[in-house]
Amino acid sequence: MSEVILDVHGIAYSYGAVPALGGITFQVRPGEMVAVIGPNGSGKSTLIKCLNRALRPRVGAVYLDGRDLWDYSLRETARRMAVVPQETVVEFDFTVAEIVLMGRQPHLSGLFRREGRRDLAAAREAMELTSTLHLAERLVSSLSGGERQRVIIARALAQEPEVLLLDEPTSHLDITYQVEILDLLTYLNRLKNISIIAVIHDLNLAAQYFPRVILLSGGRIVDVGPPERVITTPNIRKAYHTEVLLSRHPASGRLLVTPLPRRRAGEASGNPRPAVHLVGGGGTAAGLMEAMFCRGWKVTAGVLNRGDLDWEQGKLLGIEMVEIPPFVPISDEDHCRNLALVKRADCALLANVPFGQGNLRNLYALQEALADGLPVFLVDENPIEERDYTGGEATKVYKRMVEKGACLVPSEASAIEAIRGRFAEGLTFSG
Amino acid sequence: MAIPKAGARTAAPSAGPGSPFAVLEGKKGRARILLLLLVLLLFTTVAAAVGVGAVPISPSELLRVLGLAPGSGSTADPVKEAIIFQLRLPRVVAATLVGASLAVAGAAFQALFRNPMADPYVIGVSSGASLGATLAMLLALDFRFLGIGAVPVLAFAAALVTVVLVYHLAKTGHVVSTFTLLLAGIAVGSFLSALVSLVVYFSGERLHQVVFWLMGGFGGANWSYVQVAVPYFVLGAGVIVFHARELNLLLLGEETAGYLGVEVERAKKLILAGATLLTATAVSTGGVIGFVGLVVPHAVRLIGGPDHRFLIPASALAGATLMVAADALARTVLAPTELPVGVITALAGGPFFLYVLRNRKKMRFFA
Ligand SMILES: Nc1ncnc2c1ncn2[C@@H]1O[C@H](COP(=O)(O)OP(=O)(O)O)[C@@H](O)[C@H]1O
Ligand SMILES: [Mg+2]
Repeated sequence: MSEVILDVHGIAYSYGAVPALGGITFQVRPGEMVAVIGPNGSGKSTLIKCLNRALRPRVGAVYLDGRDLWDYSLRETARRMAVVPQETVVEFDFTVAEIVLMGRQPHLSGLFRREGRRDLAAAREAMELTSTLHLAERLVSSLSGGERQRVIIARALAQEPEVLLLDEPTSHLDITYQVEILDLLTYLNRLKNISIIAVIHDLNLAAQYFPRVILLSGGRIVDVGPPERVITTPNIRKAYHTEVLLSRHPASGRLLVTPLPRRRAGEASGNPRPAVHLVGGGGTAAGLMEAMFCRGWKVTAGVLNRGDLDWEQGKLLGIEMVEIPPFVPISDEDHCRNLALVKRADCALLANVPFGQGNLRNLYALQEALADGLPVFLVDENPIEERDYTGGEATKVYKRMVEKGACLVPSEASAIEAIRGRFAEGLTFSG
Repeated sequence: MAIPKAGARTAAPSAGPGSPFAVLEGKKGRARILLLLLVLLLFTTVAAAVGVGAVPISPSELLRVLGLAPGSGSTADPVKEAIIFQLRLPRVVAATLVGASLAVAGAAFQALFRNPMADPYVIGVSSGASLGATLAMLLALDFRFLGIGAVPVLAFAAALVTVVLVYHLAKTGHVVSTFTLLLAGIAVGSFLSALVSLVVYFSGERLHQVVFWLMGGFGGANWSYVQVAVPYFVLGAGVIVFHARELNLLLLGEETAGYLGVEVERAKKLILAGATLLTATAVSTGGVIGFVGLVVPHAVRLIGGPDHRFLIPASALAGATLMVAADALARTVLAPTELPVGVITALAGGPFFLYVLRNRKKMRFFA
């Protein structure tokens, strides 16, 4: 077996004159699990159909185990590759056992193509693996959606394939069954080393279950790679034309995708959407960042070290930041870039952050902005004295800023409220 | 991560008791018994059909004449022997072939089109054959081909030409969509039916002959009909029997059948050719006999399920039985007047089909 089981080489497909897929190139190694994601009409089904021979690409080629897919007989293809289609017709009185045995079709030979012991054994194993053995005598038409999908997967397994292609195997199912099916696929992938390529509608499930994802948009690949590299705010915005909130689950570190309401909705209701420059570090600003981002505010962030929790959050949200390498103090140049960002904002917000020599210049930047007349809000959950590791310098600057009119707020929530109130007023005055 | 359920795979798979396929074995057994019963029923019906008529013939007489009972030959009445061999038996055998052909073709078309209303005539075979036959009668063509008269020969040829025409109308590239095929069949069929009506309108004193043919019957059947029909029947039915698995898979949808390794376009073409051959043979032998090809497969499916490995042979047997019985009724009910067989099958089949329609929820075969 070669290193690459499926080699998709620059394929394109058009329905009549309407191009649906173009310049698709990627490779799948044996035992890989790949999710295909993308908005409706982005060509996911078309891609799957080009891989399973339902459609023949106009350009390019698909190589299965080093040989052009279309050089195989259909029988040979079906012995190596199984398909779980998007729609499954079940309105007939076949039993589960009969349906699963139909998966042996490409393996049957001889004049009467009788199923032998080997075929029964394969079908039985497929039913055991998918926990459908107890359903053997039931009519497929009488099953629940989740059970039916497991039966269709059992039929695919009975083919003893090396590659399994699935088009939205979980879309019609409720969340329990979605998880059940994806757990099953993961299990089969590990147990049998089957390569799995599945169209997955739900970005969270794709990120959770698939080590590799392909993001399609308009029939082209936007990005391929591990979910944390592909499912990013800019990529999703580009592919789906929608805003999402990306975050990491605090305990598991898993990627979480939350779609956000369309910005227009916020505009229409007259909510203010100020541009806020945020200064934080060490995770003190992550919550604020998310809260403001969700409101559709334009957020920028002041000097942050790469790898810092706030920096990570900013990356996920696709926020513009001044970033510097880890454990490096803020240089003159970084300071200037930070000042430039602050000046573009409508106001600045300082998170409840501790100050040391490394980040003291962030505080100077805010002081300068305040002097230029920019509203500055200071989250004052803990007194500045407790957060000052500069030997009093930070406290001095902080106090002076308060005297010059910086607004002290006791918590993150009140910071958001204060900024909102301030700019809502601004709206009424100008309107 | 611990892989769940790994221990569940230790049991040695087998088809023995407790296996998920034990039920299938049971089903197969029941199917065999059902087929055997249908064979017995067919033979009983054939014996009864040969027996009834102006000269009644008892089963024992029949067996003796056929040389299947002790004392054969010696005591046989030559008149009865002639009645059996020259009149009734060819007729019954022709009815058997036609009934079996129509039922098998109907089952195949229903699966191919995934449409419960499909019958052997959906793609225009009957209208084509009717046009050929009526033209032959109107023009009083009088030639014989392999001992067969002009009417069935023209009917057969016109039926095949019609299907080839419909097939090419529906073809785009290498692909024939069954949906387009169905529509093209309906369109061509109604066009040809209009032509048939026109021919009937001008048929003058031949009207009775034409109408009688259109309603179907076995009045003219003789051994040469049977001789010519048998090879076509064997060929057509053989193709379909050998595609029973493909028919099952086609029920899951053409796309899915393809994913399971079926050469869908080739299978469709062969099944279509087989069913067309059967239908053309049936129509040229017995005229346009309705309902058998529609109703019999449904009835068999209700009893025995959708598996074509059972459905095809069972439909053949049931269709043959029904046709033999209908023909026997047709020639005895108002004897000596003979009714068209098509009238009998329609009288029996219509109500049955209504029953099927009203109970279609129970027939989950189709959407
Ligand atoms: N049979 C078809 N005929 C014409 N256009 C089609 C057909 N199937 C899909 N398309 C078009 O091709 C594009 C990609 O469709 P599809 O692959 O089904 O997308 P997805 O599965 O990602 O929703 C869409 O613009 C769709 O409208
Ligand atoms: Mg799709």
